[in-house]
Amino acid sequence: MATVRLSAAVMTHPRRLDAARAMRDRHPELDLQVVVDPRPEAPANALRTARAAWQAVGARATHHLVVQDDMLLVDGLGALLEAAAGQRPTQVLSLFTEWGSRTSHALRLSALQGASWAPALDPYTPSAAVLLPADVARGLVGYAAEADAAGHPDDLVVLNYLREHGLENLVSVPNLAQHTPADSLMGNDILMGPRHSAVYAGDVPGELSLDGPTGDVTLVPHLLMFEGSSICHLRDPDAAGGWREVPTHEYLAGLGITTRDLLAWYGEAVAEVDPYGAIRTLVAEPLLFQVWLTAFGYGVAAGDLVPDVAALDERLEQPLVRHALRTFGPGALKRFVPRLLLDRLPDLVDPLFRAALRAGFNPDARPEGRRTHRITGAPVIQARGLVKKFGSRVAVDGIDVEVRRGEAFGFLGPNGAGKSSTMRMLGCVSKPTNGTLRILGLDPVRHGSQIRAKLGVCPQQDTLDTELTVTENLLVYARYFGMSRSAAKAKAAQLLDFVQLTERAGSTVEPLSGGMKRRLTIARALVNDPEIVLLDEPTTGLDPQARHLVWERLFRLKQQGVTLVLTTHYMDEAEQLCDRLVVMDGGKIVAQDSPAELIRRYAGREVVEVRFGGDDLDGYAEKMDGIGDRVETLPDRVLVYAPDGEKAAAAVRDRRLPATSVLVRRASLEDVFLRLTGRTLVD
Amino acid sequence: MARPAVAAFEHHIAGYRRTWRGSLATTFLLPVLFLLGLGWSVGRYVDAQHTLPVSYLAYTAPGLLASTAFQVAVTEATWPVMSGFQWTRIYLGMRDSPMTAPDILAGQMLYILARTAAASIGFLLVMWAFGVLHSPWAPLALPVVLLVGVAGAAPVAAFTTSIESSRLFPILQRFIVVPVTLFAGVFFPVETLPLPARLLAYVSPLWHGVQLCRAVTLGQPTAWPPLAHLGALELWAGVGYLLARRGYLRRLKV
Repeated sequence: MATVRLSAAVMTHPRRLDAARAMRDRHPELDLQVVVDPRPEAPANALRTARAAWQAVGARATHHLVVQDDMLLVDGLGALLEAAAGQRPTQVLSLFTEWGSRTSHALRLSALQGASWAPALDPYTPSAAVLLPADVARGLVGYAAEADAAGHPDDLVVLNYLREHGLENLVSVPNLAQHTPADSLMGNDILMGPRHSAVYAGDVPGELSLDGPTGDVTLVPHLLMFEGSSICHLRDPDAAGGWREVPTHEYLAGLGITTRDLLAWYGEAVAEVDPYGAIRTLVAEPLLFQVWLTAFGYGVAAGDLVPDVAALDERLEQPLVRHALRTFGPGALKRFVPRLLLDRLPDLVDPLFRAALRAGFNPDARPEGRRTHRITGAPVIQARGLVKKFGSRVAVDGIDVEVRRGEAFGFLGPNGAGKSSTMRMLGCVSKPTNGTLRILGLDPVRHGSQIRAKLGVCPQQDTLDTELTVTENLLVYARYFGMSRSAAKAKAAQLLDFVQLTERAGSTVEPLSGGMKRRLTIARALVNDPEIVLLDEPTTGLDPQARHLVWERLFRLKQQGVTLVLTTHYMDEAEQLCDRLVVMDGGKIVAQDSPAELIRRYAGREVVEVRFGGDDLDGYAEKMDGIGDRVETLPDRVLVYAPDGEKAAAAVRDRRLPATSVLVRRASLEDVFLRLTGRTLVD
Repeated sequence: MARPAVAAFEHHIAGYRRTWRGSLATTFLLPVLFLLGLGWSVGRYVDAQHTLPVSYLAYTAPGLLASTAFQVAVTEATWPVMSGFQWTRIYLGMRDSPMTAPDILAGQMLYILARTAAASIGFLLVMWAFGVLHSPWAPLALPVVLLVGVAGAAPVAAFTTSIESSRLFPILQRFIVVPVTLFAGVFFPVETLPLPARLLAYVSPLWHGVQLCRAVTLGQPTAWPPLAHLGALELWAGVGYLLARRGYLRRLKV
């Protein structure tokens, strides 16, 4: 083992000098040097103090510890670090990772494996407490000065340096440092929520040792903090940073696990673990599914790290693993759940998490899940060259559509694209002018009534009888379908429960809110247990909360295997609900595929939105030429499409244009529509 | 009657259940007022002339019965029908079910008949209380006025499907319904009128209904053979219904 000589520095600001000195006095063995921000009056810049702290590396030191002044450090840190640096002399060893970071998942999986170090895979280097080889500390000083002068973002400097020099960054399992708990109303970060450790050694009972190996994780699932969707990181030496990202459901599809399967398993799990909806009142169901999916991914990943189910169950009970898994819920959901309720998440989410992890560990052990509904491939709607004309106006201009059983199929397009006209033809209340249409194998012109008996229709404008009560509306509608009065009554009660209107059952419809009326219309559409549910703009005109509630119900239907056909001009609605969709414009279909595939094909991965004070956006767009794959000018902003948004954003900044804001986001269906039609969806 | 039409009828009845108490009062109050205000008060003057074989009260009562049925039916074929297409739009909800346009019309007509029947039964009970039902055939007045109802409501429903605005309904009331009521032999025998005016009475369905009602309640002979009166009513009802059906089909197919 190599000889290790440590030096150490704590970064601080004159105002927090007391905290830094207290840390120095609490850990005399570290001989912490207090490094004060050299320009405390200047705007905050993480790099400024860090450069001074790196510079403070001891002349004879082999390793240099740099910590922020608000960190709590475990007792006996000096000895632990000496041992660790002896074993891993060239690696950059981070002592803290935040509970919602990508690295936190690598840490939990490594804990499950019994490892002491986990690979860091965030797009930054966790440096609240980090042990650097001395030459790295020295190298960073000069590198950061250059980067600073070039205007590179300060949070990427360490990462870029490590990548350029091929250095490995590991995080200790458990963490040896933790932010001092500071319970402000907002947490310690308004946008991100509080940043606790993924698992802090000080919280885990028992002997602390870092003698274990480095975790072999090759698959790291993660819940994206802004999108709320689950992705998997796959080890890939060719990818930047050594990891490639794939949406979790796509990765699982490659293993032969369909979204249908997942939805069914999720449905069973949530019914079992959360029978009274305690989690679901706190976390919206589509998001909770993504949480479950991420945990399922943990199980799949654990398949490579743990020999068998018995070993898995044993490891799940170890204190370190237990503590690490309990931070998953609040870490993943801190942006979505109010700060004050975060404390409830570990207890609420943990059982679901464990169930999902077990299911993912051995999906074949759950064959009963596979019998549930799935897209069987039998087409329930087939349209060829479908045309609808009103006089000389062509509303639908020769579209081909095929919807399969169990599918959630969407028509996305702006107002006037021909969606509603199409929908009325599918609903057998409007005769096609031309083309062939088969619904459930029947001709809607000759068998309209017979087909409508098996459809559920939620029209764009409610056609409820506002003078009747909520229940009466369902009862009279059930009778339209020839149901007996007693069956209608039972069905009405069940559906009101489903759309959460039981409390308003006896109220007349008139005073209900728009969202409640919409839910009632959806309930009414389900009264005959339809084979296909047609929803024309199901959430248009609703406020965001009401929309989410409707989405949740539709999501639940989808999960039950009901075939959904919907029109929307909201791209988020299409992305959330549709397995497959067609983009319509001017009566024609301009593209057709899954939302993810459409985005991949027409918009790429990421988009940089650049806004300017002035009006000459075309001029600015020209100056951005060559950045990313494509530059698009909108009336109020310029979009740059690029596989790596951060890199493109840096390139934009490098050109020193007078941008008022530069924002990186994932590409969406909005971009797809823009690409295909040159217009925005909602104007 | 087809099952879907019955479902549509039930829907209308469900709505009626919320308001039936109010309409029940008018069902009895209106005939009493009519019989007192016209039959009895005007009758005191008319009966002094000894021009009619029965009391004026007994003479006008069956006419008022028929005209009440006619007016209820016609009114029910105006606003409520337009509402089904345009305001409450419940027809559009029905259209999304197995129901067809003719089913929807049939359901609406059943409801109109139910309203007409309710008003007419009330009227007949009041007539019985006033002692002006002279014939054992009097209960037959009910099917007669139901036929009058269809003969009035069906063409008016057809008219409603052909217009977009309810502004025409008051005009229909003032220039069609009121004159028809005044010149249909309800208050005096049309035989006293000059021929052109009499021809108008012969064309209107109400005159035929009044003739039949008077016959069955008073045991008097009709102006024309009974089958001729029935035929005229059936012609109105049949042609009107076909036109209404065409209107419903047109309005409910996009």
